[in-house]
Amino acid sequence: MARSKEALVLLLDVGPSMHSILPEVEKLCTMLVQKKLMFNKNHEVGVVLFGTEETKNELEKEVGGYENVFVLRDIKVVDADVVDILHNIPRGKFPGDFVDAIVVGIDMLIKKFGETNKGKQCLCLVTNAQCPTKDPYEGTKEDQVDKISSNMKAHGIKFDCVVIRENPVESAGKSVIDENDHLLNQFSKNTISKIVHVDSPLALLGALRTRSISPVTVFRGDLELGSTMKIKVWVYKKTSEEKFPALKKYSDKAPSSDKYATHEVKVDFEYRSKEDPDKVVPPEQRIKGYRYGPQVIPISSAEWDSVKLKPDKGVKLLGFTDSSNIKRHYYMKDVYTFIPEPGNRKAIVAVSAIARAMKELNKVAILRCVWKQGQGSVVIGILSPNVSCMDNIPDSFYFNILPFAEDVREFQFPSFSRFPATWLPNAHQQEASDNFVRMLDLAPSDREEMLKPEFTPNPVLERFYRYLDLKSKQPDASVPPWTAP
Amino acid sequence: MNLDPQGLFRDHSDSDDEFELEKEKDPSKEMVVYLIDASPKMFDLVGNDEDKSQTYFHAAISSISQSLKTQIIGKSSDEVAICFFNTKEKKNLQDLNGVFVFNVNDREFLDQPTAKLIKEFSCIEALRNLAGTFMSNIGSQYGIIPGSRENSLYSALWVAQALLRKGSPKYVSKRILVFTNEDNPFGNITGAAKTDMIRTTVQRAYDAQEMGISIEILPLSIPNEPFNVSHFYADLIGLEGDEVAQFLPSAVERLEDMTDQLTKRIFKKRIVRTISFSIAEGINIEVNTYALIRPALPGSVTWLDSVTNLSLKAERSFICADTGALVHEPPKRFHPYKNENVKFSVDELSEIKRISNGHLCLLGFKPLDLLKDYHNLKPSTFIFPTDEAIIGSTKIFIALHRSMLQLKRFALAFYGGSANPRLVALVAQDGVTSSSGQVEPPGMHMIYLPFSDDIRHVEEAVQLQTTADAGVPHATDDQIKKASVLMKRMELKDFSVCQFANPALQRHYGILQALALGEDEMPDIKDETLPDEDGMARPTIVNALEDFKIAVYGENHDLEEVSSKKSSGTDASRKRKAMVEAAVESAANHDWADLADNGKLKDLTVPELKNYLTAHNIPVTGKKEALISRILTHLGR
Repeated sequence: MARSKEALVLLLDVGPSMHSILPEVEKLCTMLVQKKLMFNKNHEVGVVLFGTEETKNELEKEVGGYENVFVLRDIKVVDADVVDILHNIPRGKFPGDFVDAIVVGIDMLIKKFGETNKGKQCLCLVTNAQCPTKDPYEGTKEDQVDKISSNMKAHGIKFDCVVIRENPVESAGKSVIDENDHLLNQFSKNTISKIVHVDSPLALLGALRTRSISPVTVFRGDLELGSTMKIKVWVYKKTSEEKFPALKKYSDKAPSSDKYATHEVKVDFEYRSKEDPDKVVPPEQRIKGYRYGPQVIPISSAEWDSVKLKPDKGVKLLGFTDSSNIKRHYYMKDVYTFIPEPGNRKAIVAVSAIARAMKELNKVAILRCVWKQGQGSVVIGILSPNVSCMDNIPDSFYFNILPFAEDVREFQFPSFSRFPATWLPNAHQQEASDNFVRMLDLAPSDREEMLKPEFTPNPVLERFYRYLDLKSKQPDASVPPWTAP
Repeated sequence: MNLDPQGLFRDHSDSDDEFELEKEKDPSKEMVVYLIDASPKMFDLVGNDEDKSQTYFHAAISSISQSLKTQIIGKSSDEVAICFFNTKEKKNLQDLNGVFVFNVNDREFLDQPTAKLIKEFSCIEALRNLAGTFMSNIGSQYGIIPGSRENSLYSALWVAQALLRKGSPKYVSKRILVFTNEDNPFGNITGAAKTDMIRTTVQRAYDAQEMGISIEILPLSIPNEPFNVSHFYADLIGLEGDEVAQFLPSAVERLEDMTDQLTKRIFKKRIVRTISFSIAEGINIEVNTYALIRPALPGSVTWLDSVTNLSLKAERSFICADTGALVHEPPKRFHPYKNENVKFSVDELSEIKRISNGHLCLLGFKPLDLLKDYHNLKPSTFIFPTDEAIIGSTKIFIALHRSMLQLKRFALAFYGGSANPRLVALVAQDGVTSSSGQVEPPGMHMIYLPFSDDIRHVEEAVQLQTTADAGVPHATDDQIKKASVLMKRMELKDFSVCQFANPALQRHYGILQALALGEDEMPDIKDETLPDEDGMARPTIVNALEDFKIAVYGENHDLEEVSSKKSSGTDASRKRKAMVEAAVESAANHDWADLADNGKLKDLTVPELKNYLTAHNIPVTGKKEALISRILTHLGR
């Protein structure tokens, strides 16, 4: 399918100021291509370094002026080589100019794809944006950025940018940095782009979505506010646990000479009567039984299908309530997002009006949802607003499933105030605790929030992919040690 | 064993070992003896209304059978005995007069309820049932009459107490529930005989209570003549002072509860795990975790042989895909990577997953508003401190709990289970109690947070597909105002989380019960989750909705919709229409009846056959034979 063929050009700053963080950048990039190798085998990847001593790019040859930009790898389908290349990124000696790198990247994509493949190509810039950019031959830097970004937009090129700065910068470089940030923001205004600022190596690893999953709708249809008023929405999963890869069982029975052996293991289930273990009961003779007291009641699937609940597909509003009425710990599952039907301006405005009113009044909506016809079950959940802060992204909702009466267990716990005084903290201890909570603040006002879920990668998965690559080279390698973040 | 073969109740990410553990546990056990008064007075009609000609006896039977039906699903390990007193016949181990223990085959007097018990019990007074009517087999008569030394109430308590002898009161809760409409059982007799009987009966009740048996009276009161508990029963169950006055209303409520109970599986309060919570270097406390909210499943499925109805055992075997040889549990796993198979041993895999010692490790605190609505993956787990192993755990926990509540912060922690370590948010919850008991227990809720790998940036991705040029519109202030009005009009009064029963699950239980008890009609389960149609039709809501609609969609929205549909229709529907038209046209090329009669249908090609099916709106799936047989059926051959 065409949609799976995405192209990515990595633009990596390897200038001296980046050296300390480059090991982490290597990790991030290898993880990125490794996952492509496993999940998106026909994606294409190119790598461009900037801040290098050498220069190698076609624009330099054709028009000149693009020094210190080095094309490490042309845009090609991912392979094992690119993993190795990214394991060991050469360090550069010159301050890098990210605008030059972006232009080289765009040039590579346009030369490779021309007018095709729109929306499936992406530039990914990793830099600290601390070094000044060159003045263009004509016009201001802003004009230049505008020109580049309109070009990107015309060719449907997406732009992801990770700006990493570990330490607060001294005032000397401040003006350069401000200018660079301004320029980068300028890019994001006109193009489909995302700029992420991170301040720790760990957050860097989480900053890029390393595995690309094309979103699939759970539901497309009407959000029914009433019988006469409906809003067209598309529902997607917002969170979904990325599981540890399912490994296959290995069989060593095949002779080593057999080159085409799959080494796979099939699992076979047989049902035998408990009374007569030698007798195998064929699948069509099996029937499901449910416990009713000490007995088991047999019910055939056909019988079951004819009487089970068959709610009609639809998403219906039950009403609104104060958001404080629903405690956070009642959220049951992974989260959905309700997006107004793309391109439908009426739906976009309707969703926007409700989302903004909800936010203003601190209200949430209660919905009853049946995603598919014939689904057999119903969910009740809470719709909360997600007001967009970007001009080019519409407002939307989040949806969390709430428990039914049967799902809640009413266990009783003693009230803390009923505990003996010796179990309770005294005023002094309480003060110490208050101070402790204040001190251990992960979101101080003067820096980025730490350990944000959005930027914190799953350590187990990371470790697995690292080990997988290691094992492909040394089959007897042991599990790499784990270092806590 | 498959717990939910249809997958109705499965979310896409269950199978956490924590949840597995929980299913194995046995709910706490309860033993109940229902003592039902069967005196002639119980066969009076409730009220004077002829239409609702229901006897007190019937009311008692139906509320007990309702309760049994709920119980057999909710807590099937509980044991019950049903015992009538003031009967003509007798049946009990002590051979006492006027007491009849009701039972069915394959069951001890005090045992788990079975479908047969419920079935026969619930139709015990019906004129035609297998066991014969209640009147002819058991009979009703006054058991306490002047001039006789018989005391049927005393005997009934004695029998009940004897039934409840098994099981230690430590592990089993034992109850006797008395159903009667007679508030003064010794009213007929006088003098020394009366005081003597009262004394011995009350003594019997005290003895029972000494043995850890609780006795409850469920009075069926007569209109205009309330059940006067102070005549006798207050003494029997030891009510004092205010309790006497409060007894009646609470008893009526209990009786109503018995019939209106939600069918739901009851779980015993149980610690899922005791974990160490490391607060800082060198400071660890201990907490217990509990599962307060978990999706309820319909109960386990057992595979049966449909011929014998005997249960089956599943056997798993591994077969080598290359050679077909049987393999034992293979020691290695592999994953394809770079065109080769990378092999892992099971030990290596578990080593990869083990990145923490299973403790909960505090990382820091954040303001509550940084816990976003999409930071969720699965149901939360409740944690409560314990001083059992580490003294002072409770004190430190409470201090943190109070600080977090006061400073409006949650704790971020790393919870390293053996297989699936997660970042978690610990949200402090203050205890909340209402008149009906504890609503929210005090403690912390552990909310499982997604990692960056688990969060999808859908909003941007969708935007990317459409690449709208002119940016996207946002609502104007006026539109937002209209939405606010709508919101106020459509406010849900007294909404509380989990006020709804799960319609699919209730239906499941209903079907199971109908099949088990051989009921003719499938129960009609009300789906409480549907919107309140009447409420929605109120003019204030209709108007607010209409105002909002005009504000966001414009005046002529419906007309525009209709006209846009008429003129174009969606692409897909137009395509379909064209296809059907083409099919009708080409199908007309053949004389189908003739072809069918001469068996020539098989000479046609599949596309030709499909033309006929499409033209007549019949499914076109399946092999050629299936298509032909469908055409033949349609032609009536």
